[in-house]
Amino acid sequence: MRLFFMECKKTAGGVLYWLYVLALFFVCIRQFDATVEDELRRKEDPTSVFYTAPDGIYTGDSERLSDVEMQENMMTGAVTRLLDSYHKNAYEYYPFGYVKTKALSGEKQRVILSYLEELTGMSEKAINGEAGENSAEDFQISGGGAFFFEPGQGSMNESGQYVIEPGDWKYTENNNDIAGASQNPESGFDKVTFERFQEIMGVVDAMIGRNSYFSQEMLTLYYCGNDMEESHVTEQEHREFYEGDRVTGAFARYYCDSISLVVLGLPALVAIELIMRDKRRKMQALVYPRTVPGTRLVCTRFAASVCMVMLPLLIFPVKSLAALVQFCMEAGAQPDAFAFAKYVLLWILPTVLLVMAIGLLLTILTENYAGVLIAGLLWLAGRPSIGKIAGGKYDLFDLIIRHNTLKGYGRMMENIHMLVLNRVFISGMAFVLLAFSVVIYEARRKGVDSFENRKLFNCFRGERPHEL
Amino acid sequence: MEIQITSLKKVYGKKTALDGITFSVGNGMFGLIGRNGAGKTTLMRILATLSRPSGGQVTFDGIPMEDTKKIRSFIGYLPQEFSLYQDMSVLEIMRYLAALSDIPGKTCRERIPRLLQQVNLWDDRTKKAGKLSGGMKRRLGIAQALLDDPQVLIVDEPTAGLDPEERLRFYTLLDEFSGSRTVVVSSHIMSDIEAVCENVAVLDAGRLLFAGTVGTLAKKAEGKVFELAIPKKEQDAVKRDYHILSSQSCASDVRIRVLADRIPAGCPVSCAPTAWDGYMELLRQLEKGVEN
Repeated sequence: MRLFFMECKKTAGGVLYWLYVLALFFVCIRQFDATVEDELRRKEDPTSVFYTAPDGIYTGDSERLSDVEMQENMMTGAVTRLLDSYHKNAYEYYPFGYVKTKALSGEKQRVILSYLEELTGMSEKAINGEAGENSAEDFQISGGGAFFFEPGQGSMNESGQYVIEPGDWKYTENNNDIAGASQNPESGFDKVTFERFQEIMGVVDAMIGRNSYFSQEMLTLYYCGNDMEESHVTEQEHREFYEGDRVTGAFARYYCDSISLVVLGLPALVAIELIMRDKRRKMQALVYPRTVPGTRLVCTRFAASVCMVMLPLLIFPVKSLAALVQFCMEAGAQPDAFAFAKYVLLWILPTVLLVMAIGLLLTILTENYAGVLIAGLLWLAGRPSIGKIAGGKYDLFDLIIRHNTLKGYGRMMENIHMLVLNRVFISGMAFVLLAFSVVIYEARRKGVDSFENRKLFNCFRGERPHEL
Repeated sequence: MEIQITSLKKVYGKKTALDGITFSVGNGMFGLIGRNGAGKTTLMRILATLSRPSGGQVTFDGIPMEDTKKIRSFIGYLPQEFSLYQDMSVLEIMRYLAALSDIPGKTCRERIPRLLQQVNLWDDRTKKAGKLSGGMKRRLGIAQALLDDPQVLIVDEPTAGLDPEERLRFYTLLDEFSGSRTVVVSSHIMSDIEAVCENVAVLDAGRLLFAGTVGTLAKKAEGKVFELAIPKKEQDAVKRDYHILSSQSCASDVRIRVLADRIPAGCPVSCAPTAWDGYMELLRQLEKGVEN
């Protein structure tokens, strides 16, 4: 244990370790803690996972939507989002499986404007919020739903200009309710077909970048009866949240998803740094001739670095966990106090093990920072497709598990066997790589390859050692 | 403990670092001398179980090199080039390396202070390695090599970069330690080896030129060392004709010590040879052989 604690201390002395902790802290504060606070703040909102209907009656399950309803849902949601993004000139997309925001050029904004005109039948002035104070403009989405603007809404800005914010628009499914809607023959507006809508979304997606909200995959993910959209909580979702997840489980899963990008790459650097310290400090000549068996040394170092990587993963969500437990106590729900520990250890630990084992093996093998490059490639290639973002879809070779929603306990449980198999497989791979690392480390210590100045791969090519 | 080296060979690609050398090392201080690139470090690494020979055999009291686990339990090694974890203190480094040597905690608590006092680092035990001077690092190096109370101590170029005072202190330390143990020390500075070692081996380009006592090495130059006092203007001619061992200016004259097969002209004084002279004679003979 003496050696283990010393290796832990050595790990904590690394710059890359603190870079990892910092990245994790940033994700926890910016993304996860903010989500928890936001959800708790709007717990009375019917779209919040915390929402409990006073009369016990919830919205019907979204799976019951018909194809036409789903198309309407998709078009409505997409156009609303496009309108909002256009006003802010901030378009969200998922280039690496995680959200980023992009601003479009003036020319591209004009193209978006033309599409919005086509999709909504609204004039440029109306879209840009330059309509007169008493006008009652509205726009209709193909499929029957419509956005309308009620008189009296909007506000004057400092320069005296009348401004209509995106939130001022109201949506209704029944356009008969809207006075003077798109049936107005003078407007010349024809409803856009679903095919044309898809065509426009394709162009918009190409303009924004990889995996924007307007890509076919994301539209399907968000607007086809999936719980990724911000819709009213169904009875099933309510039951799953309070009985299946016991509140904290849903957040623990979401926490694991939030940090997955960090744990997919940076822990490898921690392992690389720990091993490279011997090389950089020319300590190998002092460490190699010691009596400690290679198996014990490599495994102790691996265990110490893994523990140090896991430690902040378990500490950072404590604040949110406390808030969630407090909510449960007030609401009379039964929280799972160990949910975060369970999810972090069963869901994240296998990924950490494999990523660190890869870093360890490559560093022992090459005795240089080549592992950093491979860790980078692994980070790029190891992310599951965007279609798996909602969770519930698992493959044997998935390095990380995505579940970017607080709902979906049922989806996870449906495929729990594959999930368990995946985590066992990933852990198994990590231990295989660890065994290889031990073998190579022992070989190096015994001078199978040349020591210190040459690499294992070039020792057969006849390079001279630096010092004879 | 006796180290028996038999027909030892080490090849790096096309370069032969050790070319079938044979000699033995007994108890006490043993010096390994040779020019840069002679193969000293390669031999030290093999003895320290860090490099595998391409041919030949090395045994420690009959235990073959292949039994690395056993050999590592009784050797201590101070490499030529080493550094330390900069952010660790002297004490932490000793404790860490003791943990790697499986030394029990109780033994550590007794041995580490004693060793640090021995190498005069006890007062600097909390100092970070990054703040240590070259001499202090070397002393810490020897302390870590002695951690496991080894029967064989392998010390590669220990005084490189040290000032004369530090060098003297270092060799005194090694001498104190040796006693019934075996200490193999390599250097390219003959005076260092001559001062502390009874037995030496001379390596050059991977070949063994000599193995024996310091006195026997000195005898290699017997009757061939002369001292001349000549005007400075004539020294170029002497340098051309003889192998210069040393020269010292003295007013308008220069006192030159030379190696020569015949008595040089100009009232030379025959001198008693030192191990350094013997070493230089070996190299001179080698160069002559190459020329012929």
